[in-house]
Amino acid sequence: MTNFREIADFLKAGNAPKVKELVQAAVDEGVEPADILNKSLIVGMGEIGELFKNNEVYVPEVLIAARAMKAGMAIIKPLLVEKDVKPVGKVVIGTVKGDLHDIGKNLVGMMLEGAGFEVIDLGIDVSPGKFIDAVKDSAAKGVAMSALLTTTMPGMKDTVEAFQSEGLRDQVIIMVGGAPVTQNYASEIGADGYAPDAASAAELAKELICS
Amino acid sequence: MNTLQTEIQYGQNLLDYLRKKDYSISSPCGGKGVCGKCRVQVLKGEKTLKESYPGVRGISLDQWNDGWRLACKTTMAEELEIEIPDLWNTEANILTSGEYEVTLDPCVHKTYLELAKPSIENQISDLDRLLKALGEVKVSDLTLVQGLPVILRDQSYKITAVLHGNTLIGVEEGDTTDKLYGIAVDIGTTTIAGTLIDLISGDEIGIFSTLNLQKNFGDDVISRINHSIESKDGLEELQKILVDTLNQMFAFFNQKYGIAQKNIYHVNVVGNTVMIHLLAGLPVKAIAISPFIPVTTRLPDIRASELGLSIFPNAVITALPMIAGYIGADTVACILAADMLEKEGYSLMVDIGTNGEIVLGNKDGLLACATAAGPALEGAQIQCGMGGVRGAVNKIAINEEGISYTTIGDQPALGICGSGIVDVAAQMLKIGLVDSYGRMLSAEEAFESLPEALSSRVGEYNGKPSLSISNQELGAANHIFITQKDIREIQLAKAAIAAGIEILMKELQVDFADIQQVYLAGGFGNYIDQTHAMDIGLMPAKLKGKVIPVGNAALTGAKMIVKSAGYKEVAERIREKTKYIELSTRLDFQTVFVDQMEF
Repeated sequence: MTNFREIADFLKAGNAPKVKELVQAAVDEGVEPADILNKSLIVGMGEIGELFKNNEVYVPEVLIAARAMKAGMAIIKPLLVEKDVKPVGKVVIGTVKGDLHDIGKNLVGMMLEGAGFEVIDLGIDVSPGKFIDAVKDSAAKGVAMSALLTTTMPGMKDTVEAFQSEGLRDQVIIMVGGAPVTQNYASEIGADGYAPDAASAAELAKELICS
Repeated sequence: MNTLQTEIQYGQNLLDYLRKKDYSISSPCGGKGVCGKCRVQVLKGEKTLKESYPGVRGISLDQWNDGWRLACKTTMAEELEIEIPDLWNTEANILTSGEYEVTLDPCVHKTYLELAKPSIENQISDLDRLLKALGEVKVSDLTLVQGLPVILRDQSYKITAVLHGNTLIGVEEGDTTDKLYGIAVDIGTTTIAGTLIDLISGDEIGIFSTLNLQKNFGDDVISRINHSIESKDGLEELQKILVDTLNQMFAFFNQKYGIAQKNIYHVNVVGNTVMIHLLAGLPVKAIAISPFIPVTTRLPDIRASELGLSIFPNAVITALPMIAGYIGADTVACILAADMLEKEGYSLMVDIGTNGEIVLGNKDGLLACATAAGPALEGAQIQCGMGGVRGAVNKIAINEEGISYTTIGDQPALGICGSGIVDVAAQMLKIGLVDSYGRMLSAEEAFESLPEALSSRVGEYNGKPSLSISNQELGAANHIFITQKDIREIQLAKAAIAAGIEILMKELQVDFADIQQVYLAGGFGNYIDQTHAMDIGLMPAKLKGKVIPVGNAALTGAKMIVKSAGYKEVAERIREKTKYIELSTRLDFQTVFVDQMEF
């Protein structure tokens, strides 16, 4: 009998080989891939996210837990596609124009995947045009932007305005984050949401995109 | 600890106030209330002591209730009496050695001349008289020419010409040819070190080292760049700190060795690209933002007076060439010192400093990257961490009987520095107190599996396990302990360096067997226990037996050029043959980085 709790715990401990083994065993037993995803993988990442938010675990733990989740996902992803199980939403994510790679952005991507989203990571130095193209190509509903420097933050404003002039603003939920970014700034530029850390970002995305 | 009575400064930030009072307090997180390093204890200050706990990461409730406050988050509302811990002092124990042989050929030299006096038969002008005696020599300094007639006549035409290459930079009274000094300086992100060199004998006379006080604006280069962008006088402030430190260095050499500051004619600087820019007052904004463009990679020769340096006014200030925004003159200097471009076989250079530069290659070419390992291995981000200064625990031994350690200068332990951090992590891993994922055993779990001498030292900090190394009862100055969070920080730092090495090897398709030697550079390249470094994966275990500690290789390279100008060309060649790869744009870096996180 598949013990979903066991898989979630190994995921939280970052034990990728064990997660892989147990997920495969579950698949072999005929457990629904969607159940494996929702009852063990997403549960485990969600709990890690909560602990991370409360500073009870730190960045390395989140990274290795995400890696363990990826190991499990590698097995069930083709099955989910086969059974036409859709992700809870699609989010395009990137660091704005001129800005550095930020580990924070990657953590947000991991937490979003951990919550069941399909994440399209555009990387660093992403211009407003690139965000728009990605949304058009993927029909993603979520756009998540990060900035590390106060000088590159205006890139967020530019992106929001670009969506407006393309007539796409109403079709997307725009979220922002990053060290110098604040809720005030998010409201000022007309973003739909702001999150101070990766776990809150995933929760906010669920709230804004899935409801 | 120092007790300070503050003035009344309504509304001023306490950290800013203390800095203005010349208290150097570290702020690795740049004043965000996260790292806790700027903690001070408020002894008197009713309003301040009444404030309720804000729940920030840098300070615990217990500390708050004992009157501790974060200087960066405290606004002064009254006169205060505070105690300032002396964890961060400016006396540093910095590695400055390196061995090499060069032929003495500095870029500055002197010639004593006894010129023929003018007469009706010999009416050559003052300047022509001098230049004729020197040969193919240029002069561009007007003040020098303005002073010429007086000094020539005062000295009966017996003077010493000071030359930089074939440019006249000074005229001195009488014969001063025995006084010719130069300085090699390494401006590190965390520490600054300089060597005074006698350019007549080639002897190294002395060393000066201190902490880079720019750390008040953040431990890492990005925080300091941010300061130059966000604050109106930020760039000037950062430059001034470096200039002041250099002037401090010159004064030190004068006091300790009796060398007149006006007899210092050449200062050769190495440092990462941002540091060199800041010294010259060059804007650094564009380096921080993609595509990461420096103002220049070759600093033009500057005169000491242009920067306000208190040595011979026309003294030449040079810097080694830089390679990219994040790989600078110090890396070029390291490569020069290790002679990597002359070798047939592959060599690997790892600089375990704040910026974690790594270079791999041979005479056919070199590849470099910067891993931003972070200041964890220099003590910051570690709960009881500190720099390599007196009182730092630099070696720890853990066995079944318990824990023993040594400190720098044999002083009562104030905290732990880089080499101690590596020691303790490796041994905690070995005895099973930490698992390969980096999880620490709780006190209960330790009790089950470890001898009492060790399990009795496992306690709690912020609800997570911690290991007590020593405390005041046992003779330390502070309670020294390692927390679960510390282990995580070590994982991040070592994963960054290990990932950088892996990626360079992948790019050049080089195996461990192909690498002939590994140069370990940095402030504790010599002090770090290599076995322990390999045990935690900071250095690949497969390179065992090939590791050569080179101490401050950057300073060695800087010294080579001060002593022998010919190395400047070699440095140029190194610059041309070294390519830089930007790790952050690589898709595989993230994966490799996480993989290397495991011990």
